[in-house]
Amino acid sequence: MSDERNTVLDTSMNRRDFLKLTGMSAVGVSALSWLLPGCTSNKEDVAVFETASGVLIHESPRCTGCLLCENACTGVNDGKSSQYLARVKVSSGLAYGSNGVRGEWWKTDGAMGNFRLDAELCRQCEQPACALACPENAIFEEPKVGAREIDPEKCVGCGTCERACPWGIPKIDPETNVATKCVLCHGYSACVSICPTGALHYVRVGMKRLGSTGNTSSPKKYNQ
Amino acid sequence: MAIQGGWAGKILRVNLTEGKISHEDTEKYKNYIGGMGFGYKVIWDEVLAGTKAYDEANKIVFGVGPLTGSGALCSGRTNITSLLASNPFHGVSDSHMGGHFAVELKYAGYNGIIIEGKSERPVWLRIEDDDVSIEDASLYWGHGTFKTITGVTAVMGGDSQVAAIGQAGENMVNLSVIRTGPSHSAGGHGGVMGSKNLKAIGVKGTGAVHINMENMEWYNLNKFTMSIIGANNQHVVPRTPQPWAEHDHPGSRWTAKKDLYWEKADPPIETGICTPEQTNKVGYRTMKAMLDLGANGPKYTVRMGGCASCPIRCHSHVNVPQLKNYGADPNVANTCMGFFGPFSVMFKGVNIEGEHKDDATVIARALGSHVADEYGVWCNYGQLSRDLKWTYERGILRRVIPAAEYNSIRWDLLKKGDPGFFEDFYRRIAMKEGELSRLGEGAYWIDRHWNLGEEYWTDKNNKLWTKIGYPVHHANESNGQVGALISSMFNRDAQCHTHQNFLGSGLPTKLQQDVAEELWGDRNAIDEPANYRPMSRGKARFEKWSIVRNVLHDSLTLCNWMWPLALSPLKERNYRGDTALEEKYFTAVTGEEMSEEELDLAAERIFTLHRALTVKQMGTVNMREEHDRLTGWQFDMDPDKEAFTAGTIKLDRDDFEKGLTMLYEEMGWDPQTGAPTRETLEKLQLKYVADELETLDLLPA
Amino acid sequence: MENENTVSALDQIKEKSAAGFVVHESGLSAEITEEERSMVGEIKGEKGVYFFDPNTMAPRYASIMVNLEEKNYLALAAETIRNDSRTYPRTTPLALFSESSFSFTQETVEIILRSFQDKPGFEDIEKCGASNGAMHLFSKKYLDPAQAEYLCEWDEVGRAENQ
Ligand code: SF4
Ligand code: SF4
Ligand code: SF4
Ligand code: SF4
Repeated sequence: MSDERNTVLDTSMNRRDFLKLTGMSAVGVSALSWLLPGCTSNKEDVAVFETASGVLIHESPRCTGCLLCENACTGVNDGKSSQYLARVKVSSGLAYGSNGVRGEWWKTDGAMGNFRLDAELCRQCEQPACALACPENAIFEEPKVGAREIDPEKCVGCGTCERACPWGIPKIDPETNVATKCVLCHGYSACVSICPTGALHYVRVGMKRLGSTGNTSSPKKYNQ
Repeated sequence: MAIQGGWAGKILRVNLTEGKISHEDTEKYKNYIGGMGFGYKVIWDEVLAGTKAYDEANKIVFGVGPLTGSGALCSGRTNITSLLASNPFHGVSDSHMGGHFAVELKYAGYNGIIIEGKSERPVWLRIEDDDVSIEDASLYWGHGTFKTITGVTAVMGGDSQVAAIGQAGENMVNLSVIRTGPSHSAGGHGGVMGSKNLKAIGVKGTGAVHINMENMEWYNLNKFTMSIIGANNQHVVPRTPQPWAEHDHPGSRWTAKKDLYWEKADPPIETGICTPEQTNKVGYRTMKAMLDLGANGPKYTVRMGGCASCPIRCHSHVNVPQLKNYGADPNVANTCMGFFGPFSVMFKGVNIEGEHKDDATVIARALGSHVADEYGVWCNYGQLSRDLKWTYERGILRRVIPAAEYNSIRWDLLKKGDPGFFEDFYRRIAMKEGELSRLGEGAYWIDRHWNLGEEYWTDKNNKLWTKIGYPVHHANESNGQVGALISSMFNRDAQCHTHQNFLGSGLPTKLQQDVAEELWGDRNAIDEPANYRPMSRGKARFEKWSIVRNVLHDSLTLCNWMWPLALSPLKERNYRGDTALEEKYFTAVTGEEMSEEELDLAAERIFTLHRALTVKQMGTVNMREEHDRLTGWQFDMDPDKEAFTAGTIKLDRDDFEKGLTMLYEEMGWDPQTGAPTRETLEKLQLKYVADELETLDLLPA
Repeated sequence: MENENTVSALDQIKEKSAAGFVVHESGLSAEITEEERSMVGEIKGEKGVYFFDPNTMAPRYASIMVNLEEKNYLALAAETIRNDSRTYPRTTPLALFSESSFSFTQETVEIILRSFQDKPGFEDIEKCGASNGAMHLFSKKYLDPAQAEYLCEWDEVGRAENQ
């Protein structure tokens, strides 16, 4: 595991985001093992996956839905711009939240509702369901950053990984018929770098502190 | 599907009369770039002169361009072209909307949609990549835009985008919008959709736009743009003095500062000071709610928002629980005139019991915006509320409206300052209820029906710019003749922000003049505000450049409320931006080499085609007398002051004529009439236009 | 070799500037070297020399800070008004001085207004008003009064009506 320390993480995640992201109580996450339900498996070959050196997180309150992260992701990794292929997904729940249209839509997440935007991101699971499910063993651990990456030579485009991933992150590129997923841009994280409101972060595993309150002091008083 | 070279490959054609769906090859239209250019080309080729906006023979074109969906910064806009019913001669015009509709259309594989004919019954158009169908809309007909957009999304899936009209559009109210997302409206063409019985368009695309540049080079191009971009309207200095800034300006929309929060975010988020180097804070620079909603705006702000691929978040998203008292959704998003237009309907002020006046302002602005949006009523850039005020205060409404109707109007709410008046007012306009609803026809038609007299046009406070019936929109207050002439060229209010962004950047006039010298070879293109000098060649060049870039942006499509980035916040660049950036993006995406000049020339072609369309539709070459005439107050205002003296934005009649001549010359139009000449048309590869105009005897002598 | 326990003068100046402040020479806990001096900006005030880091602070802002440090409120107000009238040009809203970074008290603002009227050396500074009741100031040395009147009205009322 990397022993690099994260620089002070200027996040304004609230408790709900945090728990949602980790899928467990905050107490259990100090080591950030990212062992998530849905990514567990009893198969023997899980051991080949070391923990990735870091993961992406998304702060909902800062996200404004510009989708530049999706543009950057596909621009850098695919030489094209596409929402469908993007491995960071704000677009899917942009208007009405991740559950789509509900009766009282104005009360639910999304730009047409209470304005809250969520992102689906690859967790670089310690026991990645995508890789474990792949019949071609096409998903491997990239040595530099530890991202779970798809070998385009081996992938046959069957779509099993997409169905296996609890968040549907891998997508088959309809133009190449090869699956693709977040590779952490081999250490660069274009989405993090472009986000104009700093809503995305690359958090190194081993980092001690998460969920600071740097920006949460009480706001100034207004005319009552 | 692969979208090569930025152009999606095809244009969708939907004939509602026959229920027929077909495709056009984009190749035929490429000379016209996209968006606005496609729109004019289609109208020229396919809509006969003399057609009226709501005729079955009229068409409406939704256009996007080569940069739409590419991820180029601020490339999320949709351009809508059709005949405009509020215009006296139903001239061609554009309305635009931001949001995510445009990119979705592109990812579905289309550069545009041509809608023609008229359906027998209410329908909506479903586009899922190649799968396109016309669907029954009887469930949504009669309902507002929010309900319609939600209904269509429920059918198509949460990741689709929808554009819809409200009751105003259905009822062919001239001042009606086409809306998408929580806050994006295109004003003017809602009624054209309504006349065709088309309630909504839903689109979902899984395609991609290919970039013809090496991946990291492309990424770095966007990062470079991010480094020279400013705040909303490309304002490049902060609003308040800040340590990092050599300059500041109280007019700047770079409002971010210490202790300024999105207060309703959970937890609250401070914009803080945002320096130009902090590109991960670009989206906090424009904390627009403090302008859109006034002093207490931040208290209700959940976040800012805006269009696809844009780092400048200029739409205020607020949660105002008090709106429940009016039966409205507390979550409201909008920007600028979307708040101000409806708000000024309450021209007697707002007064809500138990609320501080700053909270009352927030409530009224949010509620007005929501009600107008739901019904889909357009404000005609603020003219609708001025028309209400003008006709009310002069007793005209009492004269023209039957007593029973007049007495049923909730004037009591208006007088009390109760924003409940919005519902009564907008319902009448949108449903075409009674005589009052004529206000929704637009200034020219109101005068025709109610005979408002010359004073209606010549009253400076009524802000009407030409007899065509649209108001000031960055006119003589924006560098005198520059804004004035730009404002006279279109068939509705000029939606040109090129000049306005430059002048409003917040940088000292002298520095702007230095840049003017570099760009247009003449520092005299720029004057100090309200200290104007007579017309000059430099101003004519600045005007032409402003219009050409505006047209270019609406064709590419890039947002003209941000582009061009002629200036930047960077002192180390001496505040210069990069006017070749549009060309760099164009080449990067399309792979076609075009110089900055060539791209400008293509936009000049598009704008000259717009002029030719106006000549054809009006049936006269005499644009100077018939089209470009001002209402008069511009020359007669401030009677104690002379034009071109300090402290007035007054124009001079002779100087304005000279200005028209100079602009016509710059455009290569006939200096007498302002109509395009054969020579210029041929130079712009518009020979077929010249030929047709000649058969109609509409070429200048 | 740098002593690990003391922060260099340069770093102190950088830190202060980044936080939005200038440093008076007496406020430095380490001697400033000639080399460091060549890397920072300095302003000579009435009460000594002040340093700032030009990478994070613009000279104009540093000068505002020096004037605030030395409580030169009258001179600061006059300089601000003249600079606005000369440079942009624009009038200066009186309200500006009550906001940060100035944060003058109401009393100070009143004293300044009186001094502009009574004291010599401020004859060029004039008032103008907008239709919403706001008061602005300008220097007639650089700005024509009629133009000032227009600009004041535009800033207070006109701009918001012309989005
Ligand atoms: S770039 Fe940032 S703000 Fe924009 S959608 Fe992505 S996460 Fe949200
Ligand atoms: S694609 Fe899904 S399953 Fe695979 S590592 Fe990422 S989050 Fe886990
Ligand atoms: S699509 Fe490719 S990577 Fe995914 S499971 Fe099938 S073969 Fe494996
Ligand atoms: S880290 Fe790279 S690959 Fe992963 S979502 Fe972000 S941009 Fe895409």
